[in-house]
Amino acid sequence: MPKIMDEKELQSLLGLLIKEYRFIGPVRKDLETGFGEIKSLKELVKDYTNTIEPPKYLFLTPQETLFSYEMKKEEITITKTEEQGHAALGDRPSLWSEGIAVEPLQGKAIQQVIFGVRPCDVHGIRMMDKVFKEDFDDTYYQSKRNKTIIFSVTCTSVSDYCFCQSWGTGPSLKDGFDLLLTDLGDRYLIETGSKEGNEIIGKMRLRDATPMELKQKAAVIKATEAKFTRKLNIKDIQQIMISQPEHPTWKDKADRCLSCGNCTSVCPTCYCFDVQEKGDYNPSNMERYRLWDSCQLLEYSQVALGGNFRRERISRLKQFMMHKLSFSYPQYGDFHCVGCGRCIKWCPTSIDLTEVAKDLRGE
Amino acid sequence: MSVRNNAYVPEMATIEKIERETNDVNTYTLTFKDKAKQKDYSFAGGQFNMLSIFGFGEAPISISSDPQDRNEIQHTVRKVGGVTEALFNLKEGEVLGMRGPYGRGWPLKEAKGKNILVVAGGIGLAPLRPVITQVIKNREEYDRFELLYGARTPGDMLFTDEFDHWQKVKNFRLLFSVDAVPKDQRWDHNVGVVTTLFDQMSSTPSRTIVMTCGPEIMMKFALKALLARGFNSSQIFLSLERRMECGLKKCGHCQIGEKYVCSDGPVFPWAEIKDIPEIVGWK
Amino acid sequence: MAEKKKLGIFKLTSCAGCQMRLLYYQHRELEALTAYDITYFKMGKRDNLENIKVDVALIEGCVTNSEQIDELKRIRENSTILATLGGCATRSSLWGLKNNKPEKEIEEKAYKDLSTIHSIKAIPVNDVVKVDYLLPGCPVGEDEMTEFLQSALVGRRPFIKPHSVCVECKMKGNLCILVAKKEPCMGPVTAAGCGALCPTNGRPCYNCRGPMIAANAPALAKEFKKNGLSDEEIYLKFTAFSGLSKVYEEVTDRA
Repeated sequence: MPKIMDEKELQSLLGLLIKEYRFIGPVRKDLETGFGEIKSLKELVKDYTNTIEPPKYLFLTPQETLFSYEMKKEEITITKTEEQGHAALGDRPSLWSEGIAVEPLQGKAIQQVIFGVRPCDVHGIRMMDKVFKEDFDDTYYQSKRNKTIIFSVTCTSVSDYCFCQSWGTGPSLKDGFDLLLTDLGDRYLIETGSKEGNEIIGKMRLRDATPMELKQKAAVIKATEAKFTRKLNIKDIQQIMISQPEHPTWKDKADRCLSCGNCTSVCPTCYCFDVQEKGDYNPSNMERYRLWDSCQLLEYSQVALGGNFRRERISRLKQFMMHKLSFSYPQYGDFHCVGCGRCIKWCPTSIDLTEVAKDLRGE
Repeated sequence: MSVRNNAYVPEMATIEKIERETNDVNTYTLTFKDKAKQKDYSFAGGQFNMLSIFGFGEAPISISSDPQDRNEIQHTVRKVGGVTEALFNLKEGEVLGMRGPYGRGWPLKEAKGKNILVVAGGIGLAPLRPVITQVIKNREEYDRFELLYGARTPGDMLFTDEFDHWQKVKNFRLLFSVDAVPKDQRWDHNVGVVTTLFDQMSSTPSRTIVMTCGPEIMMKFALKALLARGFNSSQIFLSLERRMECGLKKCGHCQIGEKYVCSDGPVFPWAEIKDIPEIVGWK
Repeated sequence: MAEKKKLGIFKLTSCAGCQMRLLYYQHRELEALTAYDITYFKMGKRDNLENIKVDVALIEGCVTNSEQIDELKRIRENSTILATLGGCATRSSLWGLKNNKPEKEIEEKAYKDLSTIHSIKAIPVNDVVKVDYLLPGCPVGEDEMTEFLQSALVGRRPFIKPHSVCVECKMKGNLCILVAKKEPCMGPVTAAGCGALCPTNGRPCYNCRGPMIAANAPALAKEFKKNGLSDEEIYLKFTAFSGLSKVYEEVTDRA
């Protein structure tokens, strides 16, 4: 049953969570808002539409060790594997963070709360969970994901880039959260979606929401829905995206594309990674690590002897957009796009996949 | 979770034997250090393992030995990149990492009672050797067998010391071709790309399964020639090469359209991939 | 203990900043320099052995006179692996700025007495001899140098990132200053390997590492123009550290 809390009760709940868990929430990052670890309530940003980065970095760390090993003549000993500790953005093996103070977190994954995850990103996490589960378990992703409580917040503002409404992945949320908060103006409605969520809320003495207050929530959502300016027509999108690979819109966008990889980095459902070996000045100490990769990069599809299956910039751009809006569906039963709009917002040349979809549809 | 249950951590394997095939191709005979693992391990022809050369990295390599031989595993490897270069520096008795097998192999079940046509180019014969050994061992289960094999030069042909044996098998026909013959080498067969052998081929679309592996450009031409001769899209099987970092359907690199080469392939019936935008141009 | 690999560090025309980087090697300098037997490193030690075989040679600086060509060829013959150390060796960097003017005009600006000066155009090392690995940057990227020195110890091919600085910048969770502040950041066309050092500190990337592979220079130049940069400013952005790099040809030709 949804409960009602006032500002003071919310503050004390968040305060409790900050005290008991590793607490990730929206914080000020220069001109924008991004996720960060929070030690005090004062750091928390409330007036944001969405964060710069999706929360995927908390589970698929930008760079992480798969295992280390020691090589002695004919003996190879694998010395360390998962479970890995949590990562903060910017975690680097020693030297990478020159000039900035970054404390890499060590040890086992601890229980963490991510507060302020928007509904679109909750859907993103749901999709990533499937990718890192299907056929083979990815213990690195799962060990961190399994120890995470998702505290989502219903959207009340909409940016020019948002189009979650078209997918039904926002601005409200039906499941996938542990806790869900909706701002009713002078009160908050809080809902639980899991055992963990129930346990947290169960400790507080909150009254049940009245039918009137539930109606109020519906009104808040309706008001938010009226604010959307960007739309993606998803009817037959799976077929439409791949039906005209020679359409001039592809070349038009590819001419502008920098192949910088920003779109995939900020995408909540992009999961590609590269695996590399790393040494030490003591050559018997080695580690294998993985780091984010992107289909937009030339080397991504390169095989031995210099063969490359996506040498042309246009073929790489098609891979990104077709994968999001077509191929992912037969693969996972989800279109790997949640309408967060980050790939549009953070593209240095404003390449817009909703525009491509429109062009292909002939609208 | 233990190291054992971590899909990314390889098992240790010993190099039992190294055989030189050509200038830049060796066959490595491997056994898992863990005897129980060796006993449990089974694969189908066309599948691959991820081989780790410690200190250097990991690469997907197809298995070239007989699937019925449970005592050892063979990989026939061409020296082409950082990892394979490092493998070529290892000696018998040394240790590498191995995990697998991964992917979908050749359609030997579908081929039962039918004719088999194998079209291979260069190192592409390696993943098809398990097919040949299986057909020989279970000769009565299959009908006619024909192999079209092409390489750059006579010196680049793999498994030449097995050709005599293969030639003698009943209802086996082998056709060879090379792109060029250096002056100092003797060559009694066809000269030209492997598709020039199609005119001498006796296989017809009737009751035949085609399996092809080689450079992508060769497979494109082979495919065109086969379709032109009336072979249909569900009787032609191709083994595709893509970059792979994990073999576990996670790293994303090997995707073509909706397919993951590492798990949906590497062997695909043409019917399954012919409509993928990146492949459509092949026809 | 097996014999240590021999490392020679050689200087051509450069500011010596990259050698300085190697010496002032933050946390790892002792480890790095004791892992090798350093046979030649004029800035770092007193006794230097010339003309002996080395396993690894690092070249700092570019060629600006003909004697250096012979010297470079000699070093190449004597070394198993040869890599550039920094931007000057990799693509003549700032020295390349003089390449679009007549040599004499440049010499007259710099020297009073020209009788002993015989300079030639600034030539990067890989235009003279075969280079195994290019380590760009002004100065050379510390991580990339670490990766190179560690991989050369065992003979592994180093992981030199061919992609854009943006990838590293996003991995750090930085705010994109090109998009958010319209700062003329060269990150999208510049080769990674520095850990996005400048953007992480709120400054636009100035392309000290030169172009990444598959850089789309005209598209970024267009964006700069939209953001109010003049043709001259754009020209300087694309030429300062990369000379008249082929990758940037379209941009540099236009200006």
